[in-house]
Amino acid sequence: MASLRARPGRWFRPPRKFRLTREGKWFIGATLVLGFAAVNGGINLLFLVFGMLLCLLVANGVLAEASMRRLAPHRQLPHAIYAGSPFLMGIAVRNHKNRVATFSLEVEDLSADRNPVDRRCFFLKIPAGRRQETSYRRTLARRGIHRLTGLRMSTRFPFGLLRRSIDVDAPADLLVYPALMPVTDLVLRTGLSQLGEKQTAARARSGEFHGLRELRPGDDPSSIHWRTSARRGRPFVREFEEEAGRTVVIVLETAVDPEASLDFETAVSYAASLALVLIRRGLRVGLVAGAFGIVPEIGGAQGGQILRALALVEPAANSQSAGERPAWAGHGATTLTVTAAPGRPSVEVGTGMALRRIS
Amino acid sequence: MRFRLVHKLATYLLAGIAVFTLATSSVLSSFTLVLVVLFCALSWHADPESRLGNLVARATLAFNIVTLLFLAGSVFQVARSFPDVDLLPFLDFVLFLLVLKLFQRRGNRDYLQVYILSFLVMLAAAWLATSVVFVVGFGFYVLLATWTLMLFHLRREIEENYIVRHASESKAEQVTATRVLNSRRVVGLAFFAATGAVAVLVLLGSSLVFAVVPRVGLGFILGGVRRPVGIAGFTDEVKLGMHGVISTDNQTVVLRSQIPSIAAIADDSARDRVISSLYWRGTVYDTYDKGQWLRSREDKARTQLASFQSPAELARGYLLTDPFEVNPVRGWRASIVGAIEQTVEVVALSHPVAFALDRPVLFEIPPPPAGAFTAVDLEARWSDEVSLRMFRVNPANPYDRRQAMTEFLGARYRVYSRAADRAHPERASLAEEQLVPGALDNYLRIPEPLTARLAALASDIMAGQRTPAAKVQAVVGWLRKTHTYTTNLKRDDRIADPLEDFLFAEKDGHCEYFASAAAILLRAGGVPTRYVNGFLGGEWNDLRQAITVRENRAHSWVEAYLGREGWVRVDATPSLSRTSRMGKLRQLVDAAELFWGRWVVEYNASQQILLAQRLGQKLGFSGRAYGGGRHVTGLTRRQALVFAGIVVLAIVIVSQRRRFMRWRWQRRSAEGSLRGEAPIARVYHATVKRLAVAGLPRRPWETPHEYLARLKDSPLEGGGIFEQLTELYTSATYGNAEIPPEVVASIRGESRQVDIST
Repeated sequence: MASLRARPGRWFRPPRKFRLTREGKWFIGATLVLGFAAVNGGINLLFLVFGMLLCLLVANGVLAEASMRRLAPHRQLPHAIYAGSPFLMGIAVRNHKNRVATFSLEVEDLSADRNPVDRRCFFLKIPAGRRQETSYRRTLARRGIHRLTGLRMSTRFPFGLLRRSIDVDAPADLLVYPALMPVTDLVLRTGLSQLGEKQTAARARSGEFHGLRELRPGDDPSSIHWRTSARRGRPFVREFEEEAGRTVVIVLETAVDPEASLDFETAVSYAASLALVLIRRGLRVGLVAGAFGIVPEIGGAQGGQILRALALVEPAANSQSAGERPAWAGHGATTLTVTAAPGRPSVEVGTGMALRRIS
Repeated sequence: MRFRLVHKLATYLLAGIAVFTLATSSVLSSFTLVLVVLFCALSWHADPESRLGNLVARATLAFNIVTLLFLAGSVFQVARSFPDVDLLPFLDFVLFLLVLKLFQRRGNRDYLQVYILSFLVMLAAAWLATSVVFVVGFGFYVLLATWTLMLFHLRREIEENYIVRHASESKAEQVTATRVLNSRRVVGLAFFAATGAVAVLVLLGSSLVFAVVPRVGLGFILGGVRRPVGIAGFTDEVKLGMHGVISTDNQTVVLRSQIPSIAAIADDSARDRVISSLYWRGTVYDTYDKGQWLRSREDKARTQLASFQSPAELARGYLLTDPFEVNPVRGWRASIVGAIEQTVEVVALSHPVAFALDRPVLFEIPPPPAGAFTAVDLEARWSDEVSLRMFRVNPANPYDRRQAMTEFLGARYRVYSRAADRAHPERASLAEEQLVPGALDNYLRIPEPLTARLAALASDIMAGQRTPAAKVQAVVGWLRKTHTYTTNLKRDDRIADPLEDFLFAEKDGHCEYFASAAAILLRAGGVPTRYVNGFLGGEWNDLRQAITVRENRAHSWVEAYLGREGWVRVDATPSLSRTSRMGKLRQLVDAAELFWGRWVVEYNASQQILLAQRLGQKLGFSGRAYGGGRHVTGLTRRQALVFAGIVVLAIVIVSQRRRFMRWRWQRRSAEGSLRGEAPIARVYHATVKRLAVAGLPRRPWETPHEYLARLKDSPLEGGGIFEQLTELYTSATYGNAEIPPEVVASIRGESRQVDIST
């Protein structure tokens, strides 16, 4: 129903917009004054000059339109976006025209409310049939999904009297990971002391066969169990049991007082930072956040999964007690429970049911 | 060429063409023009980083002081010219500012000021232009303005986007902007060719606006503000010697005339001979006093005009009746039998004289065209002289002459003339003794200081001559034998009267002196004379089949009353051979000037109506031909339906074409640009397309997850596969994950199962 209501609105919303620039307003004012002078002075040659000004204004609109025809903008999203950290959003534009170059083009992203973000990309010249790329720097303060609804291309070419804009529908969701923050060495040392000395930098096909699970990005394709995959209709991989003691489960307490949302955000950032550090050190890291859990794994892809989950986690009104965790969270794994607290989140280390606060 | 240099060159050309266009209006003195050109050329080297540029930058305060002084001087000169306001000092100030800004070119603001000033110069040229050369300058100005404004816009965009935005890295960004400004790849020949085509369209558009915008404003109702052509020698008082000196090299066109009897002459040489002997009668004077000719303005010398309505073209006719005729002609038709018919077009003169071939007998003034706010009429002067007068048209009564105007903007009329160099037996005049006593007294007056000497001289010259005609011949012969024609006047300042100087001392002069001498000598011999200023000859224009008369053909002669032969023209000036045919190029220019004057400078509502009527007739719309009352067949019903259908179809095509184009490139931008970049994306889009065909399209504003969520509520087969595919697609697109080819292959095969369950 909402989309039905939105459709007529889209029909009435003009795809192309005109806006007079400051110079354009002065230009029109001068044109009107000149026309008035020509009429009241009875000077015919002033009509020629008046006509020239009018036609230049029309030519501005026509040339701007011609310049913006057959342009295909495209976003080049960054690899990862962290809240509070600047990132480069790439914008590429391809000029599909055969002979006519496009000059002086500005492209800006449109946020969810269809307003442009405060940065724009400028293309001085896009030759015919060519593609140009540039990027703009932006910082998003908040984690989560930031919706971009489209791209706005605009130009003031050729005379700078009018700004011609056209909105292109190009929806995209920017998943902003939590901001990273320094993790105290104390936590790391205390946490790792539970884990033993041996560490591996990469996941391996070694150890005892543990079970089958669904394929996740980053998995070794050679681990695909084809028979199960064919039967189930989805790819499944074999999972091997790693040496005990190199598994950490980060538990993020989501039961938070609504007024402590900032502390919760800090806790989320801390959990994310912790997970990345541990993954980089070759540990198998999992995550439990409220009712949501990520089975411990090693490798960069696991970090991406954890960051995605933490980007979207929301505080829960009803608490989930520390005891209600997935079974794999306590099976031979060290847990690092991160709880929101004023100033700095608290971290409790535990194996199984035993918890020990370390920060 | 480097972008920076191209922009600079375009700026200078724009300023130059504006100055050139202004120069064609003959308002600028040569000295001013040379100064402006020289300093503009010098300013080319005043780039910001050059030595001259640095010098200019350091002297900013001095320049500002000079500017203020110049402004103050201009204001003072303008104020001094009140009540006849002369704004030309302001124009000089604008030119000064233009040159100054060219020296002070630093940033975009300075360039913008140069453009504004050059535009003001062009405006002034439009205000003051009289020649068709203006359109040449205007055309180039449009072309250069288009180029320059585009280049200026690009330069500003470069500087704004490469310098300002990242202030913390300003050094690095400034280097980038400088590099771009010095680049040779920003604009090229193709750019200028394309924008040149745009400029041509702008010029055509300007012409269309010019033709279409209604001329119904106050300015046109009041007659407009135009500079009339000033011609010397046709004022109420003519100083001896000034007319010839001023007019000799003046190429200003005063009038053009079409004479059917001359156009019918096939032989060019014969036609040239005839044209060279044409006397165009202008102003007539009867009193000579202290070196100048005046009009006595006595009632007995008043021109007699009898007006009537010409039935054929609704023209107003004016018959010059001769009070000295024995049997005055009854009826206007009889008066023009054997007369030479001329259609005369005079330009906007400062003194509106009704020129005509010597001696005019009848004038016809056509009615004002439809939509005209002004009309022309004839006014009686003295000594068979008539002048033209403009009136504001009273819509209720076209012949209401109460709202006379001081300006004269040109006129077109028809006139019939009889040759005045010989008697016409059918129109005998009264002998002197038959005239009322004193009727010719004003034509016999001689200034007191000259009376004694002239009487003696006249007696010597006309000794033994008894008839007025013989006296005329004697005087003319004596003058031509004893005096020399020259325009290089040398006067003896000790002699107060220049005529006395001519007759008794220097003995050389031009036509005014010969005519004045003949007039006064004949008066001394008892022959009534009057002094006439006009033009002699003209130039034939084959293109227009008309005679063009320029100011350099100004001439003076005498009319002598020879009794029964009436007033006869007497030209005492030694004859000079003057070519009367224009070269082809000059004919073209003359024709262009005529077109320019009639259809551009004097373009008015009546001409717009005429154009609209002609256009309508060409298109087949019903209407009456102007002035003829003929009815033209309009469009048939079928033609009208077809025309309307074409218009509607065109509107539909144009409106839908835009929608189609929009859909096409939206589709390309959303999908096509990703083609080939991620295989998993191709699989995803193919699946989405299949679902769209099946009746569940993804809406353009939906994200992949939103689409997936919506499909979960639909009867979808292979929902799990599609969910997997969506995850893989989003990971690849937004998470930059690399999907292994075998996974892609696997999911591609499985995605074929995704469909709407029936």
